[in-house]
Amino acid sequence: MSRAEVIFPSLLFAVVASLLAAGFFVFHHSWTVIAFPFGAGLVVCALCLVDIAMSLSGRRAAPSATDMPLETLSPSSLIWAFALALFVYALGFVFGPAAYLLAYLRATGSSWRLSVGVAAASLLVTWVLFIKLLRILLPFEPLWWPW
Amino acid sequence: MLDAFLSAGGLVFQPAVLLAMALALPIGIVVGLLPGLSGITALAFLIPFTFGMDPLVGLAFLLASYAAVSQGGSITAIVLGVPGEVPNAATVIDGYPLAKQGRAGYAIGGALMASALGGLFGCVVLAVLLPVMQPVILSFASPENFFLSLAGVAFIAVLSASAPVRGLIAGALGIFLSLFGYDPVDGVPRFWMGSDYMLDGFRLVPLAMGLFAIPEILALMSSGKSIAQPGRLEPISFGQVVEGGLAVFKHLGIFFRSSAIGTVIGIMPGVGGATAPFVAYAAARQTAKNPETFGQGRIEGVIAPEASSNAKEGGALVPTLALGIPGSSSMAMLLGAFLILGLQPGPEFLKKHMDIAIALAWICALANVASSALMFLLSKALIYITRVPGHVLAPILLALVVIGTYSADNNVNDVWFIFIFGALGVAMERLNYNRPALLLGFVLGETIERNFQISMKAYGPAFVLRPISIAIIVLALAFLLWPNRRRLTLLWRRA
Amino acid sequence: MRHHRHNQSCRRAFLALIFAAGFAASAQLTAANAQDAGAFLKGQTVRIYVGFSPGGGYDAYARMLAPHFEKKTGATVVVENRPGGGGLTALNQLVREKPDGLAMMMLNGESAILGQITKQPGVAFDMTKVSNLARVAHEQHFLLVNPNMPNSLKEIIASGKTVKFSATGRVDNLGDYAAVLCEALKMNCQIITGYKGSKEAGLAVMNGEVDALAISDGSGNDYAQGGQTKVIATIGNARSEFKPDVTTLNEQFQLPPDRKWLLDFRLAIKDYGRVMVAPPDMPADKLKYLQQVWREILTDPAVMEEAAKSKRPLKYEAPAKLDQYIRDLLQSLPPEKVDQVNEVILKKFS
Repeated sequence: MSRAEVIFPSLLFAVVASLLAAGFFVFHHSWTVIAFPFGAGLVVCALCLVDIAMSLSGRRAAPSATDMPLETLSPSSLIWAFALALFVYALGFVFGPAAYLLAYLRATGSSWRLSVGVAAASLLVTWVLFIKLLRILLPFEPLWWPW
Repeated sequence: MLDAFLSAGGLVFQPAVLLAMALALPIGIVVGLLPGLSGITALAFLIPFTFGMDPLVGLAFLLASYAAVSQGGSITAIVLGVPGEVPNAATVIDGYPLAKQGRAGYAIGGALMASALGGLFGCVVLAVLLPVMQPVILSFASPENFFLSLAGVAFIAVLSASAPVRGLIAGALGIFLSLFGYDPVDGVPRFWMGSDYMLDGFRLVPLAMGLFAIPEILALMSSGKSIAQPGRLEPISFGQVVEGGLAVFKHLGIFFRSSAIGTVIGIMPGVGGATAPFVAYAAARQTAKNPETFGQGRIEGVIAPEASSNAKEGGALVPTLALGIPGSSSMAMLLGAFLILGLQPGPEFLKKHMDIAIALAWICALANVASSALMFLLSKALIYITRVPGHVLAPILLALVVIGTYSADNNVNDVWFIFIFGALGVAMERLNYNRPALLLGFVLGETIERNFQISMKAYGPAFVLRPISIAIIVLALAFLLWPNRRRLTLLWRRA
Repeated sequence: MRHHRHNQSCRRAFLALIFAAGFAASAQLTAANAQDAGAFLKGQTVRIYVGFSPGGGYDAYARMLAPHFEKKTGATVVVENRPGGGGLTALNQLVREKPDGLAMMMLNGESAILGQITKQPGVAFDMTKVSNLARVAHEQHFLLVNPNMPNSLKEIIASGKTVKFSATGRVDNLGDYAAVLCEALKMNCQIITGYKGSKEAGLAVMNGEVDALAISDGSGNDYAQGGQTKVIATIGNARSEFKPDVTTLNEQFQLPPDRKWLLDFRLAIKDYGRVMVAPPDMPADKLKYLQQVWREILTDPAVMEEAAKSKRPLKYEAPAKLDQYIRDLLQSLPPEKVDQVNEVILKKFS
């Protein structure tokens, strides 16, 4: 855990600092344009350094007893949580969520009845409710479809 | 004045108006329950249905649905940890822990009662102040908005009192992220890197969904368990909900203060309405006993943001009706609806149609109360959601978030950013960086810069010396230093 | 004898018959062609993009006209809000769509032209290639001032004081009008950009933070209610029906040609107005059909009355004229004029 406590602020520092540098040296923004982002970014970077210093010197207060402990994350759930993006990209907004729901529910042990039922409900909501009734045109085609 | 009140009542209690409200409420609640879909989206697809309706009926329809949406949004904040709309993010802080403790009903009861009464408060103030509001609204210009937003940033410090450095990083990062896109002075899009989407910078809805929804969904997937941890389950009953509702009356001070904060922020067109719940939450925390237990399931932490966000909408109607200047972005849409329905808000409107204006206040009040009542009836079903196993609930929730967020702006990139900010949100949650602080910084950052630049151009550096501005600075300082007042008075005496 | 007359009348009858048959046949063919012309739309979903969030003016126009288009063509119309880039990102997306007649846009034509001339970042369209379908409306503009300001422009200019204008940006239909006005009248001005929207810009005039605002007549009329602000000039080629007593700039001033040119240029952009457009390279038959449908809708007295009632009047202009406007504004401008326009609109009066 303590490694992540140093990595995250370092990453943040790196991203913000490089954006600011790009603003000055690549995009050549004038001072009026870059002033506020510069100020905010400077605060972020400075505080990140303080944060890293505090973590390294071990001067961090232990979490209080009343804090609820966080669940440890399983790698598979991490993948599943972000996988919907892939399903939507590959299959569109109507079939993507339906396929995702079917796949996930089956993979985590739900019955065929429940999985197919939920997937069918998803089709109903996206196709009938959103596209046909509310006329919110969720992209039906896969997003890589060029035509 | 009294006869305007009475004739307004007569206008409201007509079958057509009441029927329109009855239809609008369930629609609004469903929209509110879908994460990612906000009040503005609801207004957007309901406005076309009001073409050709009688003006008051059409407006009743829209206002009622709008009130109901925010109720629905509070419920998802509590039950799922996902803010239905951005203002509900403050409700998540204490509402969701209560749900995890198996006390979702208690939180829901508190939220519903606080919303109903807070909305009522805002609408009453609206009705009373409408005739006299104009000069007040006009005395708040860009310098005052600047200091108000800056004071809002001070609340970031309060929100993160338990881990100050990390909270401030979150807040500053939020401000930094809000500055991407067009700069207010030259119109140069900062950091757009050639992408059309980034011309306007990051968008609020994907940010809020990513920060709050993704970590919770991930947690549900990891544990597979329901939101309400087993072993802490009380039988689902209305009793819990009623108890929560009564809790509002045990904390009347907090309720009135939060409602007042919401109304005032709503009245001022320049300050973003999304800040109201955060400010109210921070104020509640500052003045409560044992502030360090906030964030673990204090009912005051639910009452305060809920009361203020509903009061804010009543307040936002004030400049909308009095000057034709929208008090919030949803009011901007409502203004469009006014025009479509043939009405023209502004000083002339108030002179000629004061009864319609007050009727709208009535409708606003009624809609708040009625939607709370409706949600109360549905609360048992909603609490049940906290008992659904995580591995069934999580993917459904994720799909809803994605679909809802797309619907907001019809932009696929919003969906990708849910996941990008989701990664940020997961990291922040794990490492104890304050996510509401980031959201607050994001909401305020652009406003701060905008108002600063305008103030400098319009008044020069002397803008800081305007009387109302000075008053705001003094009040903000007092608010910040209030918990430390004893220490400060000791220092003062010793000096 | 009788036989001969009989033959003649038979022949005439026969000829008449053939004539009539031929006439009927060709009429049938034309009708069939007309029906075929619209066949590509029947039962299809047509999208009208709007570059702003729901509730604004362009959205209102699109939603008001959509049902009429549906009735005339048998298509299903969806108004799709795609905010971003000042309303122009949606145009970037439109020009990449297939020219199959199923995508159109309710466009802020003034912004598009100005964006192209001033080379705004994020402009990925070329207005000379976009297919013009019809002009829906255009507005005169008002000069709004704070009630404490003098009542006439002449007095304001004579006082020599700097007049502060509010705007959201330099090319937002507020700031650019102000810049052109100030340059044409040789007024001392400061254009303060950064306001969130035109309503906030209006509020700034009401509370005295700025002195003036150049805004469309409909909105300007709203803000002038109750004496909150006053309208002292019409920025347009004719007076506005919202306030017919307020004189135009040309009525108030006799401008020398070089300064008049700039004002006329901006007003010519205004004449392009709010337009319905389609992607470039539309096939001729589909383009003609769409143009015809929109002409019929926008000149229908019933539709015009409905529009006028909701304070969104229609002012149709034919696509051929719109093409001419584009050619004049974008293609026949000498480079030094382009530079002058850019200088005034983007840099002066900061």
